[in-house]
Amino acid sequence: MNDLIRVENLSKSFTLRRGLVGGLISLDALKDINLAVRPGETLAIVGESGCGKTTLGRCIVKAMTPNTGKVLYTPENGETIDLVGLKKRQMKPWRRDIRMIFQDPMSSLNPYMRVFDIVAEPLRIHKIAKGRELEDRVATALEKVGIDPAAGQRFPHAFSGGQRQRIGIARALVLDPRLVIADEAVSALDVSIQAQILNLLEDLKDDFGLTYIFISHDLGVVNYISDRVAVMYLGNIVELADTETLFERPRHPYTEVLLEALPIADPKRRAGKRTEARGEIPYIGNRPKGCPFHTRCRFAQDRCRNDRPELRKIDATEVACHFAETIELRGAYDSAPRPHISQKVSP
Amino acid sequence: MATDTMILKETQRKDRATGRESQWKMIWRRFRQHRLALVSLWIVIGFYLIAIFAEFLAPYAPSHYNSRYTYAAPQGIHLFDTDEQGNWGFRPFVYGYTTEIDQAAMRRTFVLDPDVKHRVQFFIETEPYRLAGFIPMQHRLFGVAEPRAPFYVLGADRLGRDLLSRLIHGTRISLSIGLVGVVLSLFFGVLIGGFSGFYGGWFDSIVQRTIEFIRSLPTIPLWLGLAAAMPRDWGALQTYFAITIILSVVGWTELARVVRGRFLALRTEDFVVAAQLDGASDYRVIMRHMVPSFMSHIIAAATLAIPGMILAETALSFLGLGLQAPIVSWGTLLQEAQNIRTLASAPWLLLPGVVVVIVILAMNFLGDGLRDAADPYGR
Repeated sequence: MNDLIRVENLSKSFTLRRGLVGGLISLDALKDINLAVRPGETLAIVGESGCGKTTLGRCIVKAMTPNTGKVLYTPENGETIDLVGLKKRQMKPWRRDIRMIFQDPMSSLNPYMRVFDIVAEPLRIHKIAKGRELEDRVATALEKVGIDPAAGQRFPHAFSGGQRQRIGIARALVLDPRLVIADEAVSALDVSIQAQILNLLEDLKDDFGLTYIFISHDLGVVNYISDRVAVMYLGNIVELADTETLFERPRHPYTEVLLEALPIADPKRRAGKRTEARGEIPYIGNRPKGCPFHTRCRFAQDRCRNDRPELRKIDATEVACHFAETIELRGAYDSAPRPHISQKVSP
Repeated sequence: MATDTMILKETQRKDRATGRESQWKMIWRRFRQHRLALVSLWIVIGFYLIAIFAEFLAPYAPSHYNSRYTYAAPQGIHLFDTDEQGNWGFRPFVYGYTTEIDQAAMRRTFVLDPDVKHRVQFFIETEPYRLAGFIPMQHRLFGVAEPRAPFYVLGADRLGRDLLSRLIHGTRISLSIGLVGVVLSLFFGVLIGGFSGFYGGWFDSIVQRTIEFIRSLPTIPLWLGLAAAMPRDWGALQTYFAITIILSVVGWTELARVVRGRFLALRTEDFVVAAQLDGASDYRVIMRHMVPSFMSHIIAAATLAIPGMILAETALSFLGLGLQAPIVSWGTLLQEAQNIRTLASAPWLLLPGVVVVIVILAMNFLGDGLRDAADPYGR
């Protein structure tokens, strides 16, 4: 089966000017990203703040243009189109297929437009429906996400955060998309509301045959909703695996650190000390040579400081670590005490 | 009727509670809570009405003079009087003048003469004129019946022209110059600032440096230079427009900054990105998604810019480089009050200055109120 979206060697850097006459510095937000999204799956992209997950999402929806690389999209007719090179006009038809849900439900809805108009806006722009039909389609979309269509005449400020996020989802869905990119779609919501929205997204996926790219920093949420997970660190994908595999048997030390940070509800299982990453995430303008994670990795060796590991396949996992076979890491479902390290590592 | 209003009130209350109320209604509701701004709004509206209906409201044409009454003191209007039968009632009148010769100064002074009363009549018939330049009319709001009788409510100037009439006509010029100047500034400010903020990059840099340059020039010498470069033989209308353009040369920078700032802030706002991802054209993104969000701010900024324009025109005209004599503006009126001698003998010639202060203050309060109310969502 063809991939719905394939990202090839994607890099994005931002240039900053230091002061008025200072030199330009280039920040690599994304470095050589390779990623495939299969039709019908939910692919999660996780990582801490500043790791480039939002930039990746925005490059895929073409809210940003990457410096190099391709975003190959396969529409329903089966041909393959590189979205990166497209002009605004050429991109427009694919905007119907690829939609986005935003993180902050407070700022993603125009405060000066009525909810009806917000949801109707994509239909009007693409000249899909008008008059009675437009009203029907908007009403259907609002009903699907659990908003009373009669409330369409209100302004966004009259709704709660969860309701606003539903409106944002309705706006994404009203065009019958194929791929929806949810950028931290539930992060700004209360936990109880998060569950509602996640369930709604699940239901809608079945109803519309959607594919999701779910960008999040919350592994609990990711575990709940996604089929596969890509872990990002400093603009690189460091591990990519099925959710089950990743949580059970992480291969990259950074993934382990993320999993260890998950809160454990059962106090009896809170045995042992947690593994934490040392220090802070480095400033991306000052990317470490070699493996980007080596400054914080407890297994780091000389090789890690000099050679950049490529993403390679081990069993069902793709991982970018030189020692992925030899180190043993603790998964999220483990209740065992601290894992032993098969190879003695000296700093 | 009463039930209709009640139903209307009820729907309004309901709209507010359910969040159906539109942006402008919310702004108005917030604005009304700002008492000072509300009062100022009425003052400003009042002055603009005076400007529009100047010919009708003023007792005389601005050039009407009577050389017998130079520097005549203000008469004031007395509203109540007794008639021949001794009945007390609303009968407005003014006292006439007697002349006294001040021997020391060798000067004629006018003293009000309580024995002579001139009746003030409303909707008095006068020589025909055209209201606002095109509506032919024959009546003025008030005046004295006897054609030769003096009628100087706020006093007369050195040619015996009625200060009140000139003040009213000057209101039209001064207020409209502020308005036209701001409209012009707004046009360039929004256009240039909008491009600068929306597209950014090198164009933005050039525009910003240009604005910084213009703003670093001392305004008075700049205006003086530009005004001095204006040909002397230009007619009244040409001078008028030249002055508005001169004022806008500096005026647009402030508004361009405001607009650019809003564009920069909104450009990364999620709902604007969402509109772009919907496939909306730049035009649609700007007009439908960005402009409504800062329209209210622009109105507030423009309101706050008008007083600056009025003051600038007044200053220029006062210095003799703005509007010239046959045109009546607050600035040219104040020119009359330039020397100490006149001020000592005819202090009422400073009245245009008082009017300037009132209007400027009212406009500033109004602008403040608008700015506070402009963001009804408190974002």
